[in-house]
Amino acid sequence: MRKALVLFAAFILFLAARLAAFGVSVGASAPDFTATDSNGQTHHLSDYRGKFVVLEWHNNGCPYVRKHYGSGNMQRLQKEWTAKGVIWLTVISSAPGKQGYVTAEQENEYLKKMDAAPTAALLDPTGQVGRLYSAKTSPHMFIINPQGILIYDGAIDDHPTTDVADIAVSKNYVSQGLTEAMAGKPLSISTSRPYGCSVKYPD
Amino acid sequence: MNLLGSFIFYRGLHPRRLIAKAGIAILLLPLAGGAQDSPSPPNVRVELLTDPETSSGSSPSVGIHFQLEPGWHIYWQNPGDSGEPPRIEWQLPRGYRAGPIEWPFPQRLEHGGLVDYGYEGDVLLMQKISMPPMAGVVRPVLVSVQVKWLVCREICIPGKIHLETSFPPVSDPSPEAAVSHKLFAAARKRLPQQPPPGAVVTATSEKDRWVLRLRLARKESHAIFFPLEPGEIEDAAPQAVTRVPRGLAISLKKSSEPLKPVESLRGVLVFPSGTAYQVDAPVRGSPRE
Repeated sequence: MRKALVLFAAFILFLAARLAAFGVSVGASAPDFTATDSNGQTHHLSDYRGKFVVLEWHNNGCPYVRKHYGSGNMQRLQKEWTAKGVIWLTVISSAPGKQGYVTAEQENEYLKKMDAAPTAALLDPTGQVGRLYSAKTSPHMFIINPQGILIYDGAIDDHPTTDVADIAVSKNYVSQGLTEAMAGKPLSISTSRPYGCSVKYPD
Repeated sequence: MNLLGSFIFYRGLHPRRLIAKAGIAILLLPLAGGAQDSPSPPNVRVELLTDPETSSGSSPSVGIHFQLEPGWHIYWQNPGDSGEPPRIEWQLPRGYRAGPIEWPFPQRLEHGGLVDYGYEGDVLLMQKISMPPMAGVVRPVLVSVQVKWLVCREICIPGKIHLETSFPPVSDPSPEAAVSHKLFAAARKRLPQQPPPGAVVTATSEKDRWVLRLRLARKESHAIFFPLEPGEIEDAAPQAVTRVPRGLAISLKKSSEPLKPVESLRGVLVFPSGTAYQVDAPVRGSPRE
Protein backbone atom coordinates (compact mmCIF):
# COMPACT_ATOMS: atom_id res chain seq x y z
CA MET A 1 0.00 0.00 0.00
CA ARG A 2 2.74 2.43 1.00
CA LYS A 3 4.74 1.63 -2.14
CA ALA A 4 1.68 2.43 -4.25
CA LEU A 5 1.28 5.73 -2.43
CA VAL A 6 4.94 6.66 -2.98
CA LEU A 7 4.67 5.80 -6.66
CA PHE A 8 1.47 7.80 -6.91
CA ALA A 9 3.10 10.81 -5.21
CA ALA A 10 6.06 10.57 -7.58
CA PHE A 11 3.69 10.46 -10.52
CA ILE A 12 1.88 13.58 -9.30
CA LEU A 13 5.17 15.40 -8.83
CA PHE A 14 6.21 14.39 -12.33
CA LEU A 15 2.95 15.75 -13.75
CA ALA A 16 3.34 18.97 -11.77
CA ALA A 17 6.85 19.43 -13.15
CA ARG A 18 5.57 18.88 -16.69
CA LEU A 19 2.79 21.41 -16.17
CA ALA A 20 5.25 23.90 -14.72
CA ALA A 21 7.21 23.65 -17.97
CA PHE A 22 4.46 25.72 -19.59
CA GLY A 23 4.29 29.37 -18.76
CA VAL A 24 7.18 31.40 -17.49
CA SER A 25 8.22 32.69 -14.13
CA VAL A 26 10.55 35.54 -13.26
CA GLY A 27 13.53 34.08 -11.46
CA ALA A 28 13.32 30.79 -13.35
CA SER A 29 15.12 29.77 -16.52
CA ALA A 30 13.61 31.34 -19.61
CA PRO A 31 12.39 28.52 -21.84
CA ASP A 32 14.51 27.88 -24.91
CA PHE A 33 12.83 28.30 -28.28
CA THR A 34 13.58 27.98 -31.97
CA ALA A 35 12.21 30.50 -34.43
CA THR A 36 12.92 31.85 -37.90
CA ASP A 37 13.45 35.53 -38.54
CA SER A 38 12.38 37.72 -41.45
CA ASN A 39 15.63 36.91 -43.27
CA GLY A 40 15.13 33.18 -43.02
CA GLN A 41 17.71 32.74 -40.24
CA THR A 42 16.99 30.36 -37.38
CA HIS A 43 17.45 31.56 -33.81
CA HIS A 44 17.51 29.67 -30.52
CA LEU A 45 17.34 31.57 -27.26
CA SER A 46 20.24 29.42 -26.12
CA ASP A 47 22.37 30.96 -28.90
CA TYR A 48 22.44 34.10 -26.76
CA ARG A 49 23.63 32.71 -23.46
CA GLY A 50 26.12 35.27 -22.15
CA LYS A 51 24.08 38.27 -23.34
CA PHE A 52 21.00 40.13 -22.20
CA VAL A 53 18.02 39.36 -24.39
CA VAL A 54 14.86 41.44 -24.79
CA LEU A 55 11.75 39.85 -26.30
CA GLU A 56 9.23 42.35 -27.72
CA TRP A 57 5.83 41.02 -28.77
CA HIS A 58 4.62 43.02 -31.76
CA ASN A 59 1.56 43.64 -33.94
CA ASN A 60 1.96 46.54 -36.36
CA GLY A 61 -1.77 47.32 -36.42
CA CYS A 62 -2.33 47.54 -32.68
CA PRO A 63 -2.78 51.13 -31.43
CA TYR A 64 -0.56 50.45 -28.41
CA VAL A 65 2.27 49.30 -30.68
CA ARG A 66 1.67 52.27 -32.96
CA LYS A 67 2.03 54.55 -29.95
CA HIS A 68 5.58 53.30 -29.47
CA TYR A 69 6.56 53.01 -33.12
CA GLY A 70 4.80 56.10 -34.43
CA SER A 71 6.60 58.17 -31.83
CA GLY A 72 9.96 56.50 -32.49
CA ASN A 73 10.10 55.33 -28.90
CA MET A 74 10.56 51.61 -29.61
CA GLN A 75 13.18 52.24 -32.28
CA ARG A 76 15.13 54.46 -29.85
CA LEU A 77 15.09 51.71 -27.25
CA GLN A 78 16.19 49.12 -29.79
CA LYS A 79 19.12 51.26 -30.92
CA GLU A 80 20.17 52.30 -27.43
CA TRP A 81 20.21 48.79 -26.02
CA THR A 82 21.55 46.85 -28.99
CA ALA A 83 24.44 49.35 -28.98
CA LYS A 84 25.11 48.15 -25.43
CA GLY A 85 25.24 44.53 -26.50
CA VAL A 86 21.64 43.53 -25.79
CA ILE A 87 20.03 41.07 -28.21
CA TRP A 88 16.63 42.55 -29.10
CA LEU A 89 14.17 40.12 -30.65
CA THR A 90 10.85 41.38 -31.96
CA VAL A 91 8.36 38.49 -32.02
CA ILE A 92 5.23 38.39 -34.18
CA SER A 93 2.80 35.68 -33.09
CA SER A 94 -0.22 36.78 -35.14
CA ALA A 95 -1.84 33.88 -36.99
CA PRO A 96 -2.32 34.14 -40.76
CA GLY A 97 -5.35 36.29 -41.55
CA LYS A 98 -5.21 38.10 -38.21
CA GLN A 99 -4.06 41.61 -37.45
CA GLY A 100 -0.28 41.91 -37.32
CA TYR A 101 0.44 38.83 -39.42
CA VAL A 102 3.24 39.60 -41.88
CA THR A 103 5.27 37.71 -44.42
CA ALA A 104 9.05 37.96 -44.15
CA GLU A 105 9.06 40.47 -46.98
CA GLN A 106 6.39 42.63 -45.40
CA GLU A 107 8.22 42.61 -42.08
CA ASN A 108 11.46 43.70 -43.71
CA GLU A 109 9.62 46.52 -45.46
CA TYR A 110 8.09 47.56 -42.15
CA LEU A 111 11.42 47.50 -40.34
CA LYS A 112 12.94 49.66 -43.05
CA LYS A 113 10.03 52.10 -43.17
CA MET A 114 9.99 52.41 -39.39
CA ASP A 115 13.77 52.60 -39.12
CA ALA A 116 13.47 49.85 -36.52
CA ALA A 117 16.60 48.20 -35.21
CA PRO A 118 15.92 44.89 -33.50
CA THR A 119 18.65 42.28 -33.72
CA ALA A 120 16.03 40.19 -35.55
CA ALA A 121 12.28 39.99 -36.10
CA LEU A 122 11.06 36.47 -35.37
CA LEU A 123 8.03 35.21 -37.28
CA ASP A 124 5.87 33.02 -35.05
CA PRO A 125 2.59 32.53 -36.95
CA THR A 126 1.76 29.28 -35.17
CA GLY A 127 2.10 31.11 -31.84
CA GLN A 128 4.37 28.46 -30.37
CA VAL A 129 6.88 30.96 -28.97
CA GLY A 130 4.07 33.21 -27.76
CA ARG A 131 2.36 30.39 -25.91
CA LEU A 132 5.65 29.21 -24.45
CA TYR A 133 6.05 32.64 -22.87
CA SER A 134 2.34 33.20 -22.21
CA ALA A 135 2.63 36.38 -24.26
CA LYS A 136 -0.71 38.11 -23.84
CA THR A 137 -0.48 41.53 -25.41
CA SER A 138 1.36 43.59 -27.95
CA PRO A 139 3.56 44.99 -26.70
CA HIS A 140 4.56 42.46 -23.99
CA MET A 141 8.19 42.67 -22.90
CA PHE A 142 10.58 40.13 -21.40
CA ILE A 143 14.19 40.51 -20.29
CA ILE A 144 16.48 37.50 -19.98
CA ASN A 145 19.86 37.83 -18.33
CA PRO A 146 23.17 36.37 -19.59
CA GLN A 147 22.65 33.32 -17.38
CA GLY A 148 19.39 32.56 -19.17
CA ILE A 149 17.17 33.59 -16.25
CA LEU A 150 13.98 35.55 -16.90
CA ILE A 151 14.31 38.80 -14.96
CA TYR A 152 11.43 40.87 -16.33
CA ASP A 153 7.96 40.00 -17.64
CA GLY A 154 5.38 42.67 -18.27
CA ALA A 155 4.51 46.04 -19.71
CA ILE A 156 6.86 48.31 -21.58
CA ASP A 157 6.12 51.19 -19.22
CA ASP A 158 3.78 52.46 -16.54
CA HIS A 159 1.24 54.27 -18.71
CA PRO A 160 -1.11 51.64 -20.16
CA THR A 161 -2.64 53.91 -22.79
CA THR A 162 -2.55 54.61 -26.52
CA ASP A 163 -1.53 58.25 -25.98
CA VAL A 164 1.84 59.18 -27.42
CA ALA A 165 1.92 62.12 -25.01
CA ASP A 166 2.27 59.66 -22.12
CA ILE A 167 5.64 58.35 -23.31
CA ALA A 168 7.54 61.41 -22.12
CA VAL A 169 6.21 60.97 -18.58
CA SER A 170 6.37 57.20 -18.45
CA LYS A 171 8.77 55.07 -16.48
CA ASN A 172 10.16 52.63 -19.03
CA TYR A 173 10.37 49.26 -17.30
CA VAL A 174 12.67 47.77 -19.95
CA SER A 175 15.28 50.50 -19.74
CA GLN A 176 15.06 50.55 -15.98
CA GLY A 177 15.41 46.78 -15.76
CA LEU A 178 18.37 46.58 -18.11
CA THR A 179 20.12 49.47 -16.35
CA GLU A 180 19.70 47.84 -12.95
CA ALA A 181 20.68 44.37 -14.15
CA MET A 182 23.79 45.65 -15.92
CA ALA A 183 24.80 47.36 -12.67
CA GLY A 184 24.45 44.02 -10.92
CA LYS A 185 21.37 45.10 -8.97
CA PRO A 186 18.10 43.22 -8.56
CA LEU A 187 15.25 44.73 -10.55
CA SER A 188 13.04 47.06 -8.58
CA ILE A 189 10.17 46.09 -10.85
CA SER A 190 10.38 42.59 -12.29
CA THR A 191 6.74 42.06 -13.19
CA SER A 192 3.93 44.35 -14.22
CA ARG A 193 0.63 43.92 -15.97
CA PRO A 194 1.41 43.91 -19.70
CA TYR A 195 -0.83 46.27 -21.64
CA GLY A 196 -1.90 46.30 -25.27
CA CYS A 197 -4.03 44.43 -27.76
CA SER A 198 -4.34 40.69 -27.32
CA VAL A 199 -1.83 38.55 -29.22
CA LYS A 200 -3.72 37.18 -32.23
CA TYR A 201 -3.19 33.46 -31.74
CA PRO A 202 -4.93 30.96 -34.03
CA ASP A 203 -8.48 30.14 -32.93
CA MET B 1 -3.79 58.40 -45.79
CA ASN B 2 -5.28 59.90 -42.69
CA LEU B 3 -8.83 59.15 -41.80
CA LEU B 4 -10.15 61.57 -39.24
CA GLY B 5 -13.04 60.75 -36.96
CA SER B 6 -16.17 62.70 -37.58
CA PHE B 7 -18.41 63.61 -34.72
CA ILE B 8 -22.07 64.30 -34.81
CA PHE B 9 -23.33 66.09 -31.75
CA TYR B 10 -26.81 66.64 -30.60
CA ARG B 11 -27.45 68.75 -27.59
CA GLY B 12 -30.87 69.30 -26.21
CA LEU B 13 -30.91 72.22 -23.83
CA HIS B 14 -34.46 73.39 -24.27
CA PRO B 15 -34.98 75.29 -21.07
CA ARG B 16 -38.30 73.66 -20.28
CA ARG B 17 -37.30 70.19 -21.16
CA LEU B 18 -33.82 69.36 -20.11
CA ILE B 19 -33.85 65.97 -21.61
CA ALA B 20 -31.58 63.27 -20.45
CA LYS B 21 -29.56 63.00 -23.61
CA ALA B 22 -26.75 65.45 -23.97
CA GLY B 23 -24.63 64.16 -26.78
CA ILE B 24 -24.27 61.37 -29.24
CA ALA B 25 -21.11 60.61 -31.07
CA ILE B 26 -20.64 58.29 -33.96
CA LEU B 27 -17.01 57.58 -34.47
CA LEU B 28 -15.42 56.59 -37.70
CA LEU B 29 -11.90 55.23 -37.30
CA PRO B 30 -10.26 57.72 -34.96
CA LEU B 31 -6.82 56.20 -35.44
CA ALA B 32 -4.25 58.75 -36.48
CA GLY B 33 -1.33 58.27 -38.79
CA GLY B 34 -0.11 55.62 -41.13
CA ALA B 35 -1.77 53.57 -43.80
CA GLN B 36 -5.06 52.16 -42.67
CA ASP B 37 -7.47 49.47 -43.73
CA SER B 38 -10.71 50.43 -45.43
CA PRO B 39 -13.03 52.33 -43.10
CA SER B 40 -15.16 50.18 -40.82
CA PRO B 41 -18.75 51.07 -39.96
CA PRO B 42 -19.36 52.88 -36.68
CA ASN B 43 -18.88 50.34 -33.94
CA VAL B 44 -19.90 52.27 -30.85
CA ARG B 45 -22.27 55.09 -29.97
CA VAL B 46 -21.46 56.99 -26.80
CA GLU B 47 -23.84 59.36 -25.05
CA LEU B 48 -24.13 61.12 -21.73
CA LEU B 49 -27.36 60.53 -19.85
CA THR B 50 -28.79 61.82 -16.61
CA ASP B 51 -31.42 60.07 -14.51
CA PRO B 52 -34.33 62.47 -14.13
CA GLU B 53 -35.75 60.46 -11.25
CA THR B 54 -32.73 61.32 -9.12
CA SER B 55 -33.23 65.02 -9.70
CA SER B 56 -34.44 65.78 -6.20
CA GLY B 57 -31.70 63.89 -4.40
CA SER B 58 -28.41 65.27 -3.15
CA SER B 59 -26.35 63.23 -5.62
CA PRO B 60 -28.13 62.84 -8.92
CA SER B 61 -27.01 60.07 -11.24
CA VAL B 62 -25.32 60.52 -14.56
CA GLY B 63 -24.07 57.86 -16.88
CA ILE B 64 -22.04 57.20 -19.99
CA HIS B 65 -24.04 54.96 -22.29
CA PHE B 66 -22.12 52.77 -24.73
CA GLN B 67 -24.04 51.03 -27.50
CA LEU B 68 -21.86 48.53 -29.30
CA GLU B 69 -22.21 46.91 -32.68
CA PRO B 70 -22.36 43.09 -32.61
CA GLY B 71 -19.07 41.46 -31.69
CA TRP B 72 -17.46 44.67 -30.40
CA HIS B 73 -16.71 45.11 -26.73
CA ILE B 74 -15.32 47.55 -24.22
CA TYR B 75 -13.64 46.60 -20.97
CA TRP B 76 -14.42 46.24 -17.29
CA GLN B 77 -12.33 47.93 -14.60
CA ASN B 78 -10.03 44.90 -14.67
CA PRO B 79 -9.86 44.24 -18.40
CA GLY B 80 -8.27 40.76 -18.06
CA ASP B 81 -5.57 39.51 -20.38
CA SER B 82 -5.60 42.54 -22.67
CA GLY B 83 -7.43 45.79 -23.32
CA GLU B 84 -8.01 48.94 -21.31
CA PRO B 85 -11.04 50.11 -19.32
CA PRO B 86 -12.82 53.32 -20.31
CA ARG B 87 -11.62 56.50 -18.61
CA ILE B 88 -14.14 59.11 -17.59
CA GLU B 89 -12.90 62.56 -16.53
CA TRP B 90 -15.37 65.17 -15.41
CA GLN B 91 -14.94 68.91 -15.57
CA LEU B 92 -17.16 70.12 -12.75
CA PRO B 93 -17.79 73.45 -11.13
CA ARG B 94 -16.24 74.06 -7.76
CA GLY B 95 -17.76 72.02 -4.99
CA TYR B 96 -19.23 69.37 -7.29
CA ARG B 97 -17.78 65.90 -6.96
CA ALA B 98 -18.17 62.82 -9.12
CA GLY B 99 -18.41 59.56 -7.22
CA PRO B 100 -16.77 56.34 -8.38
CA ILE B 101 -17.93 54.56 -11.52
CA GLU B 102 -20.59 51.99 -10.71
CA TRP B 103 -19.57 49.02 -12.86
CA PRO B 104 -22.31 46.58 -13.87
CA PHE B 105 -21.07 42.99 -13.70
CA PRO B 106 -19.05 42.10 -16.81
CA GLN B 107 -18.97 39.22 -19.24
CA ARG B 108 -16.14 36.78 -19.79
CA LEU B 109 -14.88 37.32 -23.37
CA GLU B 110 -12.79 34.51 -24.78
CA HIS B 111 -10.67 34.75 -27.92
CA GLY B 112 -7.66 32.81 -29.15
CA GLY B 113 -6.98 31.28 -25.76
CA LEU B 114 -6.99 34.60 -23.93
CA VAL B 115 -9.77 35.95 -21.73
CA ASP B 116 -10.84 39.54 -21.21
CA TYR B 117 -13.54 41.00 -18.96
CA GLY B 118 -15.90 43.49 -20.54
CA TYR B 119 -19.18 44.34 -22.12
CA GLU B 120 -20.87 43.59 -25.39
CA GLY B 121 -24.12 45.10 -26.57
CA ASP B 122 -25.13 47.86 -24.24
CA VAL B 123 -23.66 49.21 -21.03
CA LEU B 124 -24.32 52.26 -18.87
CA LEU B 125 -21.51 53.33 -16.56
CA MET B 126 -23.16 55.38 -13.82
CA GLN B 127 -21.77 57.88 -11.36
CA LYS B 128 -23.36 60.05 -8.71
CA ILE B 129 -22.43 63.70 -8.77
CA SER B 130 -22.75 65.44 -5.44
CA MET B 131 -23.48 69.12 -5.26
CA PRO B 132 -22.28 71.59 -2.66
CA PRO B 133 -24.86 72.70 -0.10
CA MET B 134 -26.96 75.45 -1.62
CA ALA B 135 -29.43 77.87 -0.16
CA GLY B 136 -32.62 78.31 -2.12
CA VAL B 137 -33.31 77.02 -5.59
CA VAL B 138 -30.67 74.87 -7.24
CA ARG B 139 -29.48 76.55 -10.42
CA PRO B 140 -28.50 74.31 -13.28
CA VAL B 141 -24.86 74.32 -14.35
CA LEU B 142 -23.09 72.89 -17.32
CA VAL B 143 -20.96 69.85 -16.57
CA SER B 144 -18.71 68.29 -19.14
CA VAL B 145 -16.86 65.04 -19.43
CA GLN B 146 -14.02 63.59 -21.47
CA VAL B 147 -14.52 59.89 -22.17
CA LYS B 148 -11.75 57.71 -23.61
CA TRP B 149 -12.18 54.02 -24.41
CA LEU B 150 -10.84 51.07 -26.30
CA VAL B 151 -13.36 49.15 -28.38
CA CYS B 152 -12.29 45.81 -29.85
CA ARG B 153 -13.42 42.94 -31.94
CA GLU B 154 -10.66 41.29 -33.96
CA ILE B 155 -8.79 44.58 -33.78
CA CYS B 156 -8.87 47.42 -31.28
CA ILE B 157 -9.78 51.03 -31.92
CA PRO B 158 -9.25 53.74 -29.32
CA GLY B 159 -11.90 56.45 -29.15
CA LYS B 160 -12.66 59.60 -27.24
CA ILE B 161 -15.36 62.16 -26.96
CA HIS B 162 -16.19 65.33 -25.08
CA LEU B 163 -19.80 65.59 -23.88
CA GLU B 164 -21.80 68.09 -21.87
CA THR B 165 -25.05 68.28 -20.07
CA SER B 166 -27.01 70.58 -17.87
CA PHE B 167 -26.97 69.43 -14.28
CA PRO B 168 -28.79 68.52 -12.11
CA PRO B 169 -31.39 66.80 -14.26
CA VAL B 170 -34.89 68.09 -13.78
CA SER B 171 -37.89 65.97 -13.13
CA ASP B 172 -39.22 65.32 -16.62
CA PRO B 173 -42.38 63.48 -17.66
CA SER B 174 -41.35 63.11 -21.31
CA PRO B 175 -41.13 59.67 -22.95
CA GLU B 176 -37.43 60.23 -23.59
CA ALA B 177 -36.80 60.80 -19.92
CA ALA B 178 -38.68 57.60 -19.15
CA VAL B 179 -36.44 55.69 -21.54
CA SER B 180 -33.42 57.19 -19.88
CA HIS B 181 -34.64 56.26 -16.43
CA LYS B 182 -35.27 52.69 -17.60
CA LEU B 183 -31.64 52.43 -18.69
CA PHE B 184 -30.51 53.54 -15.23
CA ALA B 185 -32.88 51.11 -13.54
CA ALA B 186 -31.62 48.24 -15.71
CA ALA B 187 -27.99 49.14 -15.03
CA ARG B 188 -28.64 49.27 -11.28
CA LYS B 189 -29.98 45.71 -11.43
CA ARG B 190 -26.61 44.64 -12.85
CA LEU B 191 -24.56 46.18 -10.07
CA PRO B 192 -22.88 43.64 -7.77
CA GLN B 193 -24.50 43.57 -4.35
CA GLN B 194 -23.21 42.79 -0.89
CA PRO B 195 -23.93 39.09 -0.31
CA PRO B 196 -27.14 38.69 1.70
CA PRO B 197 -27.09 37.36 5.26
CA GLY B 198 -26.62 33.63 5.07
CA ALA B 199 -24.27 33.85 2.10
CA VAL B 200 -20.62 33.50 3.05
CA VAL B 201 -17.59 33.44 0.79
CA THR B 202 -14.23 32.14 1.99
CA ALA B 203 -10.95 31.76 0.12
CA THR B 204 -8.11 29.34 0.58
CA SER B 205 -4.74 28.90 -1.08
CA GLU B 206 -4.28 25.35 -2.30
CA LYS B 207 -1.01 24.72 -4.16
CA ASP B 208 -1.39 26.32 -7.60
CA ARG B 209 -5.03 27.27 -7.11
CA TRP B 210 -7.18 29.66 -5.13
CA VAL B 211 -10.41 28.06 -3.97
CA LEU B 212 -13.49 30.13 -3.23
CA ARG B 213 -16.09 28.39 -1.15
CA LEU B 214 -19.56 29.87 -1.34
CA ARG B 215 -22.15 29.09 1.25
CA LEU B 216 -25.36 30.34 -0.31
CA ALA B 217 -28.79 31.15 1.00
CA ARG B 218 -30.39 29.74 -2.13
CA LYS B 219 -29.51 27.07 -4.64
CA GLU B 220 -27.24 28.09 -7.49
CA SER B 221 -25.91 25.74 -10.14
CA HIS B 222 -22.92 27.77 -11.26
CA ALA B 223 -20.94 30.95 -10.72
CA ILE B 224 -18.20 32.89 -12.47
CA PHE B 225 -15.59 34.90 -10.58
CA PHE B 226 -14.26 38.19 -11.95
CA PRO B 227 -11.19 39.39 -10.04
CA LEU B 228 -10.84 43.07 -9.26
CA GLU B 229 -7.06 42.96 -9.27
CA PRO B 230 -5.06 41.92 -12.31
CA GLY B 231 -2.32 39.36 -11.91
CA GLU B 232 -3.96 37.20 -9.22
CA ILE B 233 -5.51 34.47 -11.32
CA GLU B 234 -4.83 33.08 -14.78
CA ASP B 235 -7.73 34.78 -16.49
CA ALA B 236 -7.76 32.30 -19.37
CA ALA B 237 -7.75 29.16 -17.22
CA PRO B 238 -11.18 27.52 -16.88
CA GLN B 239 -12.79 28.04 -13.48
CA ALA B 240 -13.76 24.65 -12.03
CA VAL B 241 -17.09 24.92 -10.24
CA THR B 242 -18.33 22.07 -8.07
CA ARG B 243 -21.40 21.68 -5.90
CA VAL B 244 -20.64 21.30 -2.24
CA PRO B 245 -23.02 20.99 0.68
CA ARG B 246 -24.95 24.28 0.99
CA GLY B 247 -23.22 25.90 -1.94
CA LEU B 248 -20.44 25.90 -4.50
CA ALA B 249 -16.67 25.71 -4.67
CA ILE B 250 -14.79 27.54 -7.42
CA SER B 251 -11.21 26.58 -8.13
CA LEU B 252 -9.14 29.33 -9.81
CA LYS B 253 -5.69 28.83 -11.28
CA LYS B 254 -3.17 31.16 -9.64
CA SER B 255 -1.31 33.55 -11.86
CA SER B 256 2.15 32.27 -12.77
CA GLU B 257 3.36 35.87 -12.60
CA PRO B 258 1.75 37.37 -9.49
CA LEU B 259 2.25 41.12 -9.20
CA LYS B 260 2.12 41.21 -5.41
CA PRO B 261 1.20 38.92 -2.52
CA VAL B 262 -2.48 38.07 -2.43
CA GLU B 263 -4.00 38.65 0.99
CA SER B 264 -7.59 38.57 -0.09
CA LEU B 265 -9.50 37.78 -3.23
CA ARG B 266 -11.65 40.70 -4.23
CA GLY B 267 -14.00 40.71 -7.14
CA VAL B 268 -17.44 39.88 -8.37
CA LEU B 269 -19.31 36.56 -8.43
CA VAL B 270 -21.95 36.26 -11.12
CA PHE B 271 -24.68 33.62 -11.06
CA PRO B 272 -26.73 32.34 -14.03
CA SER B 273 -29.80 34.12 -12.64
CA GLY B 274 -28.08 37.46 -13.24
CA THR B 275 -27.44 38.08 -9.55
CA ALA B 276 -23.98 39.32 -8.74
CA TYR B 277 -22.19 39.56 -5.41
CA GLN B 278 -19.23 41.66 -4.36
CA VAL B 279 -16.54 39.45 -2.87
CA ASP B 280 -13.76 40.34 -0.47
CA ALA B 281 -12.48 37.10 1.00
CA PRO B 282 -9.25 37.00 3.03
CA VAL B 283 -7.13 34.08 1.90
CA ARG B 284 -6.33 31.38 4.41
CA GLY B 285 -4.00 28.43 4.02
CA SER B 286 -5.35 25.16 2.80
CA PRO B 287 -7.73 23.51 5.26
CA ARG B 288 -5.40 20.55 5.22
CA GLU B 289 -2.32 22.56 6.21
